[in-house]
Amino acid sequence: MGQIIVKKGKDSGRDMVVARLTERAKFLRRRGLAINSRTLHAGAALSSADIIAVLFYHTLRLDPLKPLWEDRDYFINSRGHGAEPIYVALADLGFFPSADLDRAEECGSHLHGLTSTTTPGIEFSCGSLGQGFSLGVGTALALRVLKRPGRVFVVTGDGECQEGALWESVMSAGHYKLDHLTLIIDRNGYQSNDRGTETVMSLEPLDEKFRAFGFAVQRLDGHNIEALVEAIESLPFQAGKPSAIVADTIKGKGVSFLESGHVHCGRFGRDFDGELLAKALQELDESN
Amino acid sequence: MTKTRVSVRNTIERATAEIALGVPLTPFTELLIEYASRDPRVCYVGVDTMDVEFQRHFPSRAFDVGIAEQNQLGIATGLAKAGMVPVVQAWSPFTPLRNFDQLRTSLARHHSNVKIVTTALGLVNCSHGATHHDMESLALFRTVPGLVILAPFDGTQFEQAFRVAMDYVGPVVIMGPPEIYAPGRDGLDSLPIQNHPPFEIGKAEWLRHGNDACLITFGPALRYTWLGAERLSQGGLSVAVVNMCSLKPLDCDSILKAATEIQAVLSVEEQTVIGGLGSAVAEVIAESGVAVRFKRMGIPDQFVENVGDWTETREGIGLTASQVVRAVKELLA
Repeated sequence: MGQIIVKKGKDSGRDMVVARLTERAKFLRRRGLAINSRTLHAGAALSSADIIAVLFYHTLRLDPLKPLWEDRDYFINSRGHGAEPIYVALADLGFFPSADLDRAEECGSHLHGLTSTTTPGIEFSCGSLGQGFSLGVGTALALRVLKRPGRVFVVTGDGECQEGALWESVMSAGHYKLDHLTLIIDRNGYQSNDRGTETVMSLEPLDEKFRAFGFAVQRLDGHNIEALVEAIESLPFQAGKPSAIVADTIKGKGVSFLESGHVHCGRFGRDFDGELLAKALQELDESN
Repeated sequence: MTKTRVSVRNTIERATAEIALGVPLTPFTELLIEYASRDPRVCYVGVDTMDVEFQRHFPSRAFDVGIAEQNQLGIATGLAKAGMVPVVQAWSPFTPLRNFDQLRTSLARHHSNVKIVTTALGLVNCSHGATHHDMESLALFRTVPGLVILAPFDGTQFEQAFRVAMDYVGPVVIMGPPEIYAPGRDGLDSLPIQNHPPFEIGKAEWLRHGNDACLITFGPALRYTWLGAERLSQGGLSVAVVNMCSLKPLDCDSILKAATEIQAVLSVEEQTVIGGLGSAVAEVIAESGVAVRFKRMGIPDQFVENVGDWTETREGIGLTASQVVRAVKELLA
């Protein structure tokens, strides 16, 4: 025991990274869903778990012992929703005790239903949609003026891209040529009440829209850890341009009856108790 | 604290700048450059309002987001998060109307160290019509937790308020005096206020004392309120005038002093009578249990559609010195 089996070949290091991140993503899904808070948005929590795993375990330069370290990277969860995998990652990295996760949304807990600055490691309280990327642009401008090395990563939902304010900030990111700023869109295709974004208000072609606003864009499978790692390691995609990653994902990824198009897709909150939760956790346990 | 004046306070440099621009530097620009000269965190965030002289001095710290009020306050919040001290220039009819959620939920919720200077308070933008009338900025600002709201009357008091705001750590709105934006457009002579007392957050300025009526006002309304007080005084009444230059925190002590020691209280503001200064004064009086004759004067609950200059626009809705005189006489009748 204890021996690490390394595949031969030049990409063996990358394989190990991918294997570890895949395992962590599974952990974020399993532990995140088990929080089962009132505000749980299971669909978004599961669709974004791979993105969150890559960011927190591979990309972001953070120090849990010094959350306000000046040279850190900044992560902004623009939608506020889908908090669970982020909470699990922050606890796992040591920003706060993992036992706190069991008290999410309880009186006296620091864990709101949506990510807020009451929680160590959360930079901004978000949840009123379309505002988070403006915060990212401002932060990136400040880092440039202050000559700090930090990068800024903003994750948005796709439904959030229907907010006009988001496009104001996207326009300004291109204008200011913020190549240390990256926007990752969790493109799971669904918004409230299980309705598809293209039914409610069309977003496509999303990657072309960001290109037109001065971004360098990659579109990829948001559940392909290797693709995510390769994309993020190649940031900025183009010098002098902000980067956008349109990550095509599946809402509820990993739990068959929560996935897009299924009867419980987008289900969240109190009605996700008991049998359904047990069944979901079992599926996640049994998945590879 | 010793304040050193630098940069364009230097006469030659200011003259050069003024020649280059063809216009005199505003008190706002002078102060901004002074603070930015000694503090590398101070930056400017405009909304199609780029302060070109500031930009000339500090190009890396001059941001103009274009016509995008929501993004403006979001960016200011982000800048402050990473340690900058943004000074935001905004138009009263559009901040906070166009970006109230960003103000409340992003900027104020994070207690961001941002200073917002609004101009064109009230009906100063008369000729543009109701889109450019600021009738409710105070009513909206008042509801934002932790937001300090200052309303200096003139350029001198603006400088005082700006310095106080910069010394304070947290979000401050300075509802800028119309002198900065539209000097002389009201057709009224400047008021004989020589020296303002030191500016303090939470303290009003008693401009006149009296025991028949107390007129509580702020901003552009102080001009015609003052004229009304002069006329009442000439008619034999003893009239106090309070410049409520700190609107939040409100100077409740001054309001209670007026309510208990003076026969009648009249609030006068160039804002809707719903939710603004008059409402704030009424809340303080009502909760104190003091009985006093009281009336709110301001923009009635309507859009202002009549065409004219500032004075004529106000005449159409009864916001004039004569109406102040009439209201006081009715209160005391």
